[in-house]
Amino acid sequence: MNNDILKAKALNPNQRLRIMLIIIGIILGIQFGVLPALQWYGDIRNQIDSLKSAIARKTALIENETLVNELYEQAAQQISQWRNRYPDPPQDSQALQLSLQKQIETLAGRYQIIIVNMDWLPAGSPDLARGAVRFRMEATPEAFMHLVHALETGPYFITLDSIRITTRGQKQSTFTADLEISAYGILD
Amino acid sequence: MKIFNIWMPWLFSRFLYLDKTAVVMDRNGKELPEPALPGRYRTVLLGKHTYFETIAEFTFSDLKEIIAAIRLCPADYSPFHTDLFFVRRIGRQQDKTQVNLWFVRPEACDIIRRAHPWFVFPETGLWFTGSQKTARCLRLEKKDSALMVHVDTDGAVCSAMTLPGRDGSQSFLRGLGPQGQDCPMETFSAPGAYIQALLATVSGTGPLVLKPFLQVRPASGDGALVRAGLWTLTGIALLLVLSFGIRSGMAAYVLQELKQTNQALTQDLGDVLEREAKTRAIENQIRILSGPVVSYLPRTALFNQMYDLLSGKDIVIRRLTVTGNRVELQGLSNRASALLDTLAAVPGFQDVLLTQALKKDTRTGQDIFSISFHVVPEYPVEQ
Repeated sequence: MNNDILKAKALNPNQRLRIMLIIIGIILGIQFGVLPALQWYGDIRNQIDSLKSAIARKTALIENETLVNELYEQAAQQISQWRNRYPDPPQDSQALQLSLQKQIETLAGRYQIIIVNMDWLPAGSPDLARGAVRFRMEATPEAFMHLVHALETGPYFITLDSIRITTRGQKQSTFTADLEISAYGILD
Repeated sequence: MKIFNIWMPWLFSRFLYLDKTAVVMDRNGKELPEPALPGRYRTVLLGKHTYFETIAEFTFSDLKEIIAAIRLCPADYSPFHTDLFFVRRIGRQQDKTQVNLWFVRPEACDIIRRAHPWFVFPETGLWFTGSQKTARCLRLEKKDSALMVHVDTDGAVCSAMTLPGRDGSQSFLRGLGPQGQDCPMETFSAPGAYIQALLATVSGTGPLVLKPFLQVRPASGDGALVRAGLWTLTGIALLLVLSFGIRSGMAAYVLQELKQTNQALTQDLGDVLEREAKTRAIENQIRILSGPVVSYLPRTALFNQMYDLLSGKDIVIRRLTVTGNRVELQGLSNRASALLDTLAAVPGFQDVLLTQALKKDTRTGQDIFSISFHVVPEYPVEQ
C-alpha cells in the first residue's frame, strides 16, 4: 500500500500527455516557426546593409565619374605594360620550359658557357603559367654575370629562383653553377 | 505584510459564502442583496455543511506524496468521493506527519467550478493562522444551530455543528478531552463579527498560509488563474509576434525601397559602373602580373653589390648560394669577423650570422667561414 502511494504521481496520464504535447508543440514551433522567421529577418537585414553600401558607393560614383574614367585609362595603360613582360599568346608550362631551354642554350653559346646537364622541374602557380628548368653549367665569372644580366634584362620576366656557385680551387678560372630558372606566362 | 493586509480585504471585498444556501457577502460579513448564482468570485468561503473535515497522519512528509496518496485511496479519508480537497500540514511527531484535510462535497464542487474562484476556503480552515500560539475555541451562531471550532496549539483544527435547538458546547468540549476543558470560548452571534475576526486573524500572518487553498489546479481543470495565466502568456506571445511582424514588415518595405533605388542608380550609372567593374578586373590582373616581379630580388644587382663589398678584402669565395632572398657564403678570409661586420652594416641585409664556427685553414692559415644573411625585398639593391 505504502509503496503504491509512494509511486503515485500528482499528474494523471492525460495531464502528462497534454504537457508532453505542449512541449513538443513549443519545440516544433521554435524549430519550424521562430528560427526560420529569425533567419529570414536576419537575411533581410543583411540585404539591407548590403544594398545601403552599394547605394552609397554608386552615389559616390555619380560625383566622381571623371575620376572613374581616369582610373580606367590608367589601369588600361598599366595592364598593357605588365602584359608586355609576359609572352603573348599565353603558353603552358611545357612551352615555357622549352622556350627557356632554347634561350639559355643560345646565351650559353654566346658567352661560351658549358651546360653540363639540364632538367625540367615540375612547377605550378595558381594565377600564372610557370615553367622551371634546372641547369648545371661551367662558366667564368664574367660569362656567368653576362648570362644573369641577359636573363634579367630580357623582354620577358624570368626569375633565377636558386643559384649555387661552387669554385674548385683558387687557381681555376671557371666555376660550377647550379641554377633553377623559371619563365612565366599568362593563363588563358 | 502590508501588501498582504491590503490584498486580503480586496480578496474578501465581495465573496461567495456557500453553505446550505449560497449568498454574496462583503468584507464586513454583510449579505449583499444580489443573486449569488450564477456568478464569478475571487473567493469562495465554504460553510461547514459543504465539506468534511478530518485530521490524518502519514508516514511520509512530502505534501505531494500525501496528496497523491489521498487521490489514490480517497475512501480511506473521506466518506464521499470528491476531486476537490485541501491539505494543510500541522506538524510531524514520532515519524508521522499530521495534516488537516477538508473534502468538498461534489454538489459544492459544481458551484465552485462555475464561480472560477482564485481561492476556496473552508470556514474552519483559516483559524489556525493566528499569530497567537494558544489553543482557541470558537462558537459561531447560525440560524438554527451553531458551529463549534477548536484550534489547538499546533494549529490542528476540528469542528462540529451542534444539533438544532441544542447548545452543544459542553459536549463538544468534552469530546476534545483534557485540552478542551480549560479552553476559553469566543462566541460570535452575528456573521459580520465572525467574518471580521476571520479577516483579522488571516491578515496577521503571511500569504504563504493561503497556499493550500489556492486554485491553481481546481477540480474543474479550467481555473480562472490558470486561464488568466494562459491568456497573459498568449497575449505576450501575440505582442511579440506583432512586434516581430511590424519590424519585419518595415524591414521588407525598406528593402523594397532600397532595391528600387539601387536599380534606378544602376540604370543611371550604366557606363560608369561597367567601367568601374572593368577597372577593378584590370587592377586584379595587374596585381597578379606584378606580384612575382615586385617580390623578385634581381640577382645582377645583388651580385654587383656583393662584388663592391667584398673586392679588395682578400676573400676567397668557395661557394655562393642564393635561394629566394637568402644568401649563403662559404670561403676563406684573413679576418672573417671583419667580413661579418661589413655585411651586417648593410641596411638591406638582415640576420647576418655565421652558420658554422670559424676554423683555420691548415694550408693558408686563413679563417674558413660560412655566413648567411637575408636580403629584405624592399631594399633597393640596384645602384
